[in-house]
Amino acid sequence: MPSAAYLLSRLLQIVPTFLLVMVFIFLFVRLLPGDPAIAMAEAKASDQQLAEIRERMGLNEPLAVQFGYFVKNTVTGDLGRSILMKRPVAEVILERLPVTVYLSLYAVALSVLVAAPLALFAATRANGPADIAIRGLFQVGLSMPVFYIGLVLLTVLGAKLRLFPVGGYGRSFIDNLYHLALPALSIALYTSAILMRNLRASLVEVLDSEFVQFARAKGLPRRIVLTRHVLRNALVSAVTLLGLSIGNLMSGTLVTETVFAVPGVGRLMLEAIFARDYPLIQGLTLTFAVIVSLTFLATDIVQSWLDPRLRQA
Amino acid sequence: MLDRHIDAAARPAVLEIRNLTTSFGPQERPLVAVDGLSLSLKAGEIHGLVGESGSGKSITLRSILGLIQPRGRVGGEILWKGRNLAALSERELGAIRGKEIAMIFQEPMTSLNPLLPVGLQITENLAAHTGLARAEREREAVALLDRVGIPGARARLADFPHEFSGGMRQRVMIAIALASRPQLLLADEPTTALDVTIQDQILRLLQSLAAEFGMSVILVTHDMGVVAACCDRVSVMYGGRLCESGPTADVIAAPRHPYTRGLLHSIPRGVAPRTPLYSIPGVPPGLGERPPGCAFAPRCPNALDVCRDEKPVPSVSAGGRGLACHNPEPGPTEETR
Repeated sequence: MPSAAYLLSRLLQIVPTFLLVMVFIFLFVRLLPGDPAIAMAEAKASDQQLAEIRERMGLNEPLAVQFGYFVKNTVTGDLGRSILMKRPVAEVILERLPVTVYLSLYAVALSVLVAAPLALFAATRANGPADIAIRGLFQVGLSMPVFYIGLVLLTVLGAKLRLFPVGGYGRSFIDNLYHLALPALSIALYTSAILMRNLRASLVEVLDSEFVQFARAKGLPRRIVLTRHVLRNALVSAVTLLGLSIGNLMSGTLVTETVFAVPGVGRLMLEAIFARDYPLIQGLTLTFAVIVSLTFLATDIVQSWLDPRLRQA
Repeated sequence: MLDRHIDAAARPAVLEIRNLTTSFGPQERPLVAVDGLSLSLKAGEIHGLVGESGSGKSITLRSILGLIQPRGRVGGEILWKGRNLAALSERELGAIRGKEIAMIFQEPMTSLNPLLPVGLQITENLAAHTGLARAEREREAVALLDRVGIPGARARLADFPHEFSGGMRQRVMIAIALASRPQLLLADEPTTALDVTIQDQILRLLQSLAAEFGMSVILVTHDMGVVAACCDRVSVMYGGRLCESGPTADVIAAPRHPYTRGLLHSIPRGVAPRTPLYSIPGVPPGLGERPPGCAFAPRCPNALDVCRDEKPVPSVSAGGRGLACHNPEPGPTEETR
């Protein structure tokens, strides 16, 4: 297991990342054209009212002071009020976040379940007909945009065959396995294609390595050679890829959740953008950044657990 | 020295390779890596297998254990304890690999699994081939590491390969290979990647372990110096075929194949500083471009017309010396005759 010192140092590295993200979000919002006070105020507000709003929002303070307030408020969980929902941003996000997290994890699990066995199957038959067929099929999956795959699944499995609901969100964990099957599948088809290719390539490389030959020369059973020596080594790079793909996956939920009418933060982001709900956009961007950072942290921890050479912090 | 050879000659052969042919690539136009190699190994013998890169030495070792992948084809007979290894299934080979015949590799840096502690890499061998309980396996692993000269063996079981130096990793690899007390060790250039001082230590270790366990060794190397230092017999390979074989001292004293002569001549001995080193002119032929006659003919100073057209047939003469050459150097027997 990775040492406590390693975990602590890796955790501390997140702090500057978050600060940088906050600087970007803060500056980005202030770079947008238009006066936030006008956006906040009712139509036909007087100059007097606008000035009051500016004063109340601290918009007259120097930028550095404003940033200080922004950091302080963010850390204490105050992300402002959503213009669209007329409720605190943090409350709205927390309500919708579990849906997206569920959908993402579901998609990742499906991708791994599809990609890992096929990659192993293809890699042990490298350049044979089965390998070429599998790679060709996934190449097609890779070339199609997620929303298109989503629409095809929706039409065929949802509307025509009526195997799965065409949208919405269920009530319980089990119920959602069924309700979110189509959106998860449409994300997973794309992710698993990338994962399959990467995993297959590293499996081929590991299968050819000297330590696997040595393991075979020891007379170990094939099952142990494949799991203990081959798969584990190939996983190190696959885990990296999976971690990096979370960023893609999060932006993918914007489209997928909209296509399948899933009430997650992806769809919320799209709604917020269309409504120019700046506090909500700001809060959601921060949320996505936090999720991606935490995923990278988890990736690093899993990797250092897999590979002892990475444990020296 | 002489006594030992007579002694060895009287012992029965444990491994008998007959006409081993390993090829790759398309059936109709195969790339032949090992071409009709025959070799016999006696119990307790250390046999050097010498040749340049690409001469087929490593493929020979891998063919013995059936490690050739993915599409290598192994023909001929590899007789081990009355069984033909070339005809065994993967399952049957699994019981022999690591248990009766073990192998160590050239690169200690890449031959150990970087993600597993060395203790596990030793004990998994014992788990596969013995009925020892976990605690016994660990005790045995400590004893093995201790035997190959790893200081503080018990404390190092949980260490990972990257925490060992190159020479120490090679010792760990030897400990792993010897875990189940094999009767034959296939050593594929075990010292090539190591410093000269470490090379010597590892060779001595192999020698003493072979004597202690009564184990035969096939030592693949490209270094005639290594052969001279520790091998009872030597076989010289070129272009996938055997050129010459015999007791090491005899072959070194009177090489008969022009290639063996060239190899021995390439070792710098007592030359003045800044003297250009000798090397055999030309390069070995690639797998797909072997000449129809003797593989060495294009580079051979003694080559005749027949050498270019006809493969030389290996013959065995008195004193256990084998030779495949149309126009050999005069041997000691001819001179005395």
